[in-house]
Amino acid sequence: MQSMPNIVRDRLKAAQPVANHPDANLLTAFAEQSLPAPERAAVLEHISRCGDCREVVALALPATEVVAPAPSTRPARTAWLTWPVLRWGFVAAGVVTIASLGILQVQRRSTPQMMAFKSPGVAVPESRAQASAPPASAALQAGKDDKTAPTPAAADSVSSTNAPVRAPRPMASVLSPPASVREHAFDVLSGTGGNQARGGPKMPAQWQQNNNNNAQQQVSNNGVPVPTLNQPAGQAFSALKIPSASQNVAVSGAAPTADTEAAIDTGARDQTDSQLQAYAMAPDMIKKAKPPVAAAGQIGGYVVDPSGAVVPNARITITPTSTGGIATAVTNAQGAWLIPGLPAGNYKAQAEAPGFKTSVLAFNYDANRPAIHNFTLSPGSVSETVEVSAENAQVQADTASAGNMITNSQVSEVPLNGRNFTQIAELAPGVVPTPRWTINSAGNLQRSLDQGKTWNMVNVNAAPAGASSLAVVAKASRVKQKDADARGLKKEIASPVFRAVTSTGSEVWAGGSGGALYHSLDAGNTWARVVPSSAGSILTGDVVRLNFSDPQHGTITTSTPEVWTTSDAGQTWQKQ
Amino acid sequence: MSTTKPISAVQSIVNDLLADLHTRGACDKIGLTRESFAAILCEVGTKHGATGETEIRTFFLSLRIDELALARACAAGNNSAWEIFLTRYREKLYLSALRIAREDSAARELADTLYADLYGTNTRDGQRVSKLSSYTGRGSLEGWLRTVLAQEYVNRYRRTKRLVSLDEESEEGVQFSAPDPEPLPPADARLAQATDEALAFLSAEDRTILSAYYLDGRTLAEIAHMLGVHESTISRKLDKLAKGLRKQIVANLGRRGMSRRQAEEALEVDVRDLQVNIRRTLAQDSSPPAFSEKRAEARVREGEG
Repeated sequence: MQSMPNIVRDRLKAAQPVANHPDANLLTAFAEQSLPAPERAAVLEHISRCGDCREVVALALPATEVVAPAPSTRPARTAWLTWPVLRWGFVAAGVVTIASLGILQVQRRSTPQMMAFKSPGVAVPESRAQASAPPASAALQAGKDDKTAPTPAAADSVSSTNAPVRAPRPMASVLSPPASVREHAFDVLSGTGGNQARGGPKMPAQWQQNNNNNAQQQVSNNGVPVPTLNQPAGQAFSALKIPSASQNVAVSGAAPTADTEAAIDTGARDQTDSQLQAYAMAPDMIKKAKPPVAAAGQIGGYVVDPSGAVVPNARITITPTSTGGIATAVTNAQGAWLIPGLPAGNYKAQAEAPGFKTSVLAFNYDANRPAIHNFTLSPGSVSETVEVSAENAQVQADTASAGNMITNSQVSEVPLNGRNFTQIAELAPGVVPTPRWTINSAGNLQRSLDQGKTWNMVNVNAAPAGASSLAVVAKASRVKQKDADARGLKKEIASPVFRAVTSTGSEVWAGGSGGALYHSLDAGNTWARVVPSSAGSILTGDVVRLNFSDPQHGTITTSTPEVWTTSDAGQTWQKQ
Repeated sequence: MSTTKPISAVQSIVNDLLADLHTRGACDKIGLTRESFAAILCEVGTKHGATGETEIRTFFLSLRIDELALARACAAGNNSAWEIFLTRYREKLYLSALRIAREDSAARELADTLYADLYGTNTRDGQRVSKLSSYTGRGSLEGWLRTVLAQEYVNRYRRTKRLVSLDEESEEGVQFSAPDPEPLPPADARLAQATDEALAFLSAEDRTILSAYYLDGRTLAEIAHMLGVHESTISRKLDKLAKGLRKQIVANLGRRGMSRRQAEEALEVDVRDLQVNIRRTLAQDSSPPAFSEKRAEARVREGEG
């Protein structure tokens, strides 16, 4: 960059300081690009002279960190359909249409050989260009997409356009077009390709890429590569097909097929998008692993530790309580286990891994439905056993016992460097920093595992919640409660709007609209819906405040207003 | 209020939109009655000063109604509003303070001070005054909090930093260049005038880009983010500006009687470099080099810099 004379710097600095600083509202709206033009111009005029306000704007800029990865794939996809891209699409389409019209004119007057070399290169993009804009972009999107479903469709449409063109190919080798025509045609092709080198419209790059993809498909499909924009001239022309006038019509005629196929595939892709999005909202650890695949007739699940990390090589032993046969499994690298083929009945499942307390779970297995049972193992010596059954209440609510004593000398000696002394606890080896929780303005639950630098959305319904895993944390075996649970579960398929969240270590309570109350013991990786019930009525109001002074004693305040308390970590509740 | 007083345009539009806006702001849940919300909207609308029905209407519809309601309910001291506010914004406030102040203790202090202001520990005429009552819903509440933090930071720490450097200077007893030296008079007043003229013709955006890059030392990415454009746009603009300003200043100097060569030389040589040179060479007790040599030295340094 050319250097700026120092005098310019000096005179800029010597400029008179300005008064009338815009207030915080204006500066915020400016930084968020939401001011209408005249106001923006006024603020810009001020900050062009006022260094303090410039600094404020720079400091107040919204952070660029990503909150949840999946939603960004959506905008990235739809970005292809934004106006700038479409605009160039129209331009390119217009250019190509005019060119092809001109060629058709020439065709009628000149020899078949000449038109051969111009038309195919143009006709193939033309078939796409003739489609209306969204399908065109969808087809391009299809070309650019890595998913296999749309690409073959687009390729098929291209191959279908090329198929009628294949027949007269032998003519190409016999005829040699006049050099001038060849050069001109190459210009037509490279005209758009050449733009790419200059950083011109994005469209040619997409076409090129699309052509590349299709070319690869093409080679396998019918052995005739589609002319690509970046191939050297000689190669491109040897590969060209020579249609006659009638076959040109066939090529354009095939365009509507491209439309519908591409359009249908867009729909399919949208569905996949939303599935992906939902899947991506799952807790981090489970997201990394494959989704549990227990089908009917199988029992399977995950074994995780309290921080949510998967435990591989844990041994699962399933013992039917009646017949006495034993089935075992070992969790794989993703912490998943699967046992097929067990008959229906009551079972006791035990998960053990070195260094963790053995966890035992009793459940009833119905062979017609897949059963998912996840174990959360707390660290400890192998000899200790934690017994969990569907009738009794929940897993012991202690946090991980891999603790350290922080001595007095450590507190005084460890260089704090501005840190809060209580954060020394987080520095102890083996301690995962306590996750932080917040609720965003849309009522979604968010968690940060790196002390607030990045936040992820947490979906309380993402974990595979078979009725049996819900039962693990169920309340006392009152019939009414089970019904309430079932009703509640059906109602809350969508994520609730949260209003309150409280946490102690890795135990989290989150509450929201419509009596939604969720409890997690493993820092938010798995959740259980809790429906407090007292004297025959259940909690239905919006939860606005949650207060747990310790894991056993807690209070819920609702908007109605009601106050519910528990003194046994949420197993039973009393309405005040 | 006398009923014969004519209702202002703002008031009538507020009455019109009130039902919709009141629901959108979820005002019931945070204890904002329709009347109080209407008063708030009127205040905001009047302060904005738009005239014409469509303008006022567009203005109201562009506001962040739910955040405005929340902020004003908090300012009024409503507890449920505060619950919501704390759940949503407490962490973010601290994190923004950390990003701004970059240092933990300063960030905490910044955040705590702002909390006190927001909560309304200050009183004026016996009434609790909360900073949240100045939020008008034009930008997001989160962004507004960041801006207020930034303003507080700039007011406090930037000023202090400048003072510190001067103190250090007098303590050390050595004259090293302070961050803001008094502008030395340029060798030729014509140069300053010509530059001022050229700068006056710049658009506000160009001026902002120049100042942010050369005075504030911002990176291209930061400037691009500030102005909502791509980084490469900023880079191109700076290049164009450098070339254009040079040309313009030379032309302006020409009109003031300098020859083209003189003008270009005047731009190349930095007077301050010359002066410092003299001081240094004098201090070293060596004979001052010839003027032309000094100029060559300055030019070399300019070329490197």
